[in-house]
Amino acid sequence: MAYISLKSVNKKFSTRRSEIYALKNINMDFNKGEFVSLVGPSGCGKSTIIRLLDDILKPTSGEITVDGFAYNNSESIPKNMIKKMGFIFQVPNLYPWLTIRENVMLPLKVYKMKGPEYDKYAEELLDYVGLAAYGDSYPSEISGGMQQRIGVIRGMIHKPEIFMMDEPFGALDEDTRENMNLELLEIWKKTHMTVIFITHNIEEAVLMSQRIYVMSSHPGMVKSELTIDFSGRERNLDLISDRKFAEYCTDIESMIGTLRLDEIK
Amino acid sequence: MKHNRKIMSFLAPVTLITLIIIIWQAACTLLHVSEHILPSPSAIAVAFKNDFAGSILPDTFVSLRIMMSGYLIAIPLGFIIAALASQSRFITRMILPVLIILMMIPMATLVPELKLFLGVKPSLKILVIILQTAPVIAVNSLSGFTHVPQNKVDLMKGLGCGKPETFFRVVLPNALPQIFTGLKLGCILCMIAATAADMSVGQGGLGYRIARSATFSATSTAFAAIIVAAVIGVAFYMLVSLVESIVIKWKQ
Amino acid sequence: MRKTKNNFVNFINAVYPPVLLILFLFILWQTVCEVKNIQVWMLAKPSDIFSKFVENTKDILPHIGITYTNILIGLALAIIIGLLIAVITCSFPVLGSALTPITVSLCCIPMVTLVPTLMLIFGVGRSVKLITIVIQAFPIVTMNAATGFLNADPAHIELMQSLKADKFQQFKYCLIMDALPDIFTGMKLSSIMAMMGGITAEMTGGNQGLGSRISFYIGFSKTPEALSCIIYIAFLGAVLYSIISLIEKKAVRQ
Repeated sequence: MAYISLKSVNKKFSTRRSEIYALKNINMDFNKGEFVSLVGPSGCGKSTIIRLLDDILKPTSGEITVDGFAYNNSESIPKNMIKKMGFIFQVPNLYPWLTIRENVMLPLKVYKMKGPEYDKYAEELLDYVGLAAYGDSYPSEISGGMQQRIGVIRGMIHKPEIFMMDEPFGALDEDTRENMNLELLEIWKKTHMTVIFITHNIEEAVLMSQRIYVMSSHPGMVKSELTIDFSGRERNLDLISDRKFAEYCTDIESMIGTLRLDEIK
Repeated sequence: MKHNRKIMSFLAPVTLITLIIIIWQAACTLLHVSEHILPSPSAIAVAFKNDFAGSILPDTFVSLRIMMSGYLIAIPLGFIIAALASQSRFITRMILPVLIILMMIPMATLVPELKLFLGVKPSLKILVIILQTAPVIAVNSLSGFTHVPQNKVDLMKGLGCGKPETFFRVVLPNALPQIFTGLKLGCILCMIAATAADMSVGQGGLGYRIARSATFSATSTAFAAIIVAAVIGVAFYMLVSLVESIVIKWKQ
Repeated sequence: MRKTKNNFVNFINAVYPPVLLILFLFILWQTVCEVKNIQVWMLAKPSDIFSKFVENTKDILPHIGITYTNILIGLALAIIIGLLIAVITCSFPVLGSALTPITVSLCCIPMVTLVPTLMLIFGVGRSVKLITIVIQAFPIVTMNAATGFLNADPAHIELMQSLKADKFQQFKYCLIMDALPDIFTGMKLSSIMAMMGGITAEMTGGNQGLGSRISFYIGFSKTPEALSCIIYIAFLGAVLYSIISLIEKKAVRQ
């Protein structure tokens, strides 16, 4: 039994005129400690999957299981489950009335986790993303890219076992994104978190993931699954010049390319 | 689900109001409360029927006339003062505190003084209403005009727009919520000022009817007039709210 | 050292323009009265008012205290009650839709009409004044606070949902902060209603407070004294509104 699994998950949205299948017959498994990416064109339901796992949306049909706990349609996930998970969305969504430090530590307040070790961890994380000097500033005083970095560390402050990220580095510039990719890999190696990473940047996915699900859109479906194996090589920026890296990227690109042609037909 | 909500939002207040009327009637009847102190709903209904054509209806028209005249003059007055003042930071700083002082003075305090100075005339009532209502509209509109996000104003400047064009394209639409706050409060104050003016100055109007009925201990008639005044006030407020929702929707 | 100098300069810059305008208006008032030879009992000149101001203030000092206390306590109560009712109406939608028309109606009833009845029941002491102020002022607080709570930023609420915060946490960490601008608007507007309710109650009955002094002085055609009462009332109103505005500037951060 996989650590996280989605079995035959469908998600339908009804508008006044029609019904749209955001997700159709999704079957995905994630093993504990894995780093898995979801890649695909926009509109393929990647964000919907994260919302289903966060229990913000309920599936129209199908089963979602996390660490043996089955999500059900009538109740919310209990607090002890949600504490194991950390979510990062595309938009940082910081609270304008809280300082940066207070924003980072907000989940601790909701989860009622207190103590000096968390205060120290918050400072470490701020330092990690290079924003230690901005702890007492307000979101309106920092740039969008900086806000997104704060959003990322806010998702980690409560030391979750499962980390789900929806295009977290999309708005960042190339250099910062590469740094964040490497930092994320470092954190993953240290903490052995299970990471589900959504991106439309194929290189990013190939660099960091052990497996990649390639998705199609309209309706959102799993088109194929790739295992990324660099035979034990260290995952760092040198990898990009590896021939295998380029092959993986081309394969995925052609898959997505074909998918796009399919959609046009 | 939505259908149920709509039914509920209608039934709930109707039920509550009916309950209140029943308890009120029961309390008055069972506790033998004198009609002159607190009339029961039935006594008010009787007084309403009896006095409707003779006094309540004509008084309602008098009040409505002065309220409308006062409000319709106060709106452009307050608006224009705010619009002009917002063009200069110095003038805003100069005029805003004075407007706030005017806004906070209950006109009831000035009516006796104005009666001495200007004499008892219908135009006195309208003046009182304007004095009470225009400052509120001006203060809130001025607040709206002066709190437009700077980047939007700068954008207009960058496109080479002059002050009038900037005002109508950017400042005014952004200030609409605050303007309507002023208009809504203005219509409540207009009602209150009209009633106070009627009471003090006389010559018809619901306030006059209420005061006069009270002197004759015709408390039921007084209450009937009070309820009419409240209903007019609420209707007026809902009308302005309706206009607000239409304008805001149209803006989007 | 530099900060204090800046603050002082800012203060002067804020204060001198309206002071200039008020001085100008007083001079205009004085001139018109003298040129048109208006009688004192009809409209007192500023000079008449100020010559008797100090002596008059000593006479009405207890009344100033009573009015100021009544309105401050009444407004505070109205704000607390108004906020509580807003929280209740937003948490329980059925109760909310029942109470909303009543709240709006209460706000539109001129309390000056109900004060005589209230005085027959409650007498002419402080309690009548406070009841009048609360009933006249709390609806505005409720209406604006409710608007604030119901119009909270959906993105902010979604973050709370993502963390599976319970209703109380959502309120404490998100809703109340999003609603703060509207809550302060409600407080400022209700201060106007509080002044209105309190002063008209004092004018209607009893012999306590500045409102009653105005009726008294006008009855004896003592216009300068009546106008000095109005000046004290204007001062209270302006300070009340300004204090709430100042707190708003510090507390609201969007």
